[in-house]
Amino acid sequence: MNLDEEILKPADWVKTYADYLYSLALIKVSSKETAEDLVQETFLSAFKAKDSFKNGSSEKTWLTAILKNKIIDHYRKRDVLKEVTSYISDTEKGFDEHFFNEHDGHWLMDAGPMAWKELADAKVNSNEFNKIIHYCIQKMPTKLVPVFVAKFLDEAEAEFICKEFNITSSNYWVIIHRAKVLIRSCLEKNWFLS
Amino acid sequence: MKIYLFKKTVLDCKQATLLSLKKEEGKASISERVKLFYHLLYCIYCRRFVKQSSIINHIGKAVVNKIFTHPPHILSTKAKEVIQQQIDNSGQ
Repeated sequence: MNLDEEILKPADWVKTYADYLYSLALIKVSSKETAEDLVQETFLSAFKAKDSFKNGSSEKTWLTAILKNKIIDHYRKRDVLKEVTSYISDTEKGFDEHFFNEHDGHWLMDAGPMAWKELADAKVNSNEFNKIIHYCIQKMPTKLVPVFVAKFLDEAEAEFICKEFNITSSNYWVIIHRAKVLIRSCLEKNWFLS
Repeated sequence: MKIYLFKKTVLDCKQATLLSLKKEEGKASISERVKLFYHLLYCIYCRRFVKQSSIINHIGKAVVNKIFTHPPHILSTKAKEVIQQQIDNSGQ
């Protein structure tokens, strides 16, 4: 017998999961209105598809999966990754100027990673730290966010991300690289050194 | 020619950090891993980058876990009512 076995209780969904789904959507899409819409769509799709829910999986996990798909759709509908190849070449110089020497490709003097102070797990769970993560994702160029969020928060595989957003694997690595360099620098400035 | 070959075999920090992310996902070839290894031997900044990249991955997981157990944001009561109403209506 599976103790996790659950049946769906749609009457309790909003009460039980709305804040969770909203918080998850908000960190990924930044705008409150969009996050609200996505939560609403998630509940309605889930309600329509409730017959396809498999007994034995968890209600919360099931709703989370529906929301994840809604978020990917949201980025796709807005064509966020349209013409990403030319975006990457057009912005390469600007990116490099902040971090890497244009002649030898090494870290610029004030951009090289510094040694970080230890981060206790308790701090990661603080609201203050959550705000900084939020801020750093919001500051990231829009074209980098969908891939970064899928990798960093959803732990999706590279192949899945390339397929979902229709990007080449070399563009994937450039996006992941830029996003990581940016978020690292943002966290360093706002948390690990401050 | 010599300079060209040198450039091909020795990584700069921009290339090294990108390769370190490929390696992190198990997608770097053997020759890429060898080049990265030699770069990291003499570059403390890239060694820090590699270490911090894995800390950032850890942070990503922790943030999602925190949202799962203690959602930091609250959906407004009004929005909740609207959604609840729509669910109730589509059930009829």
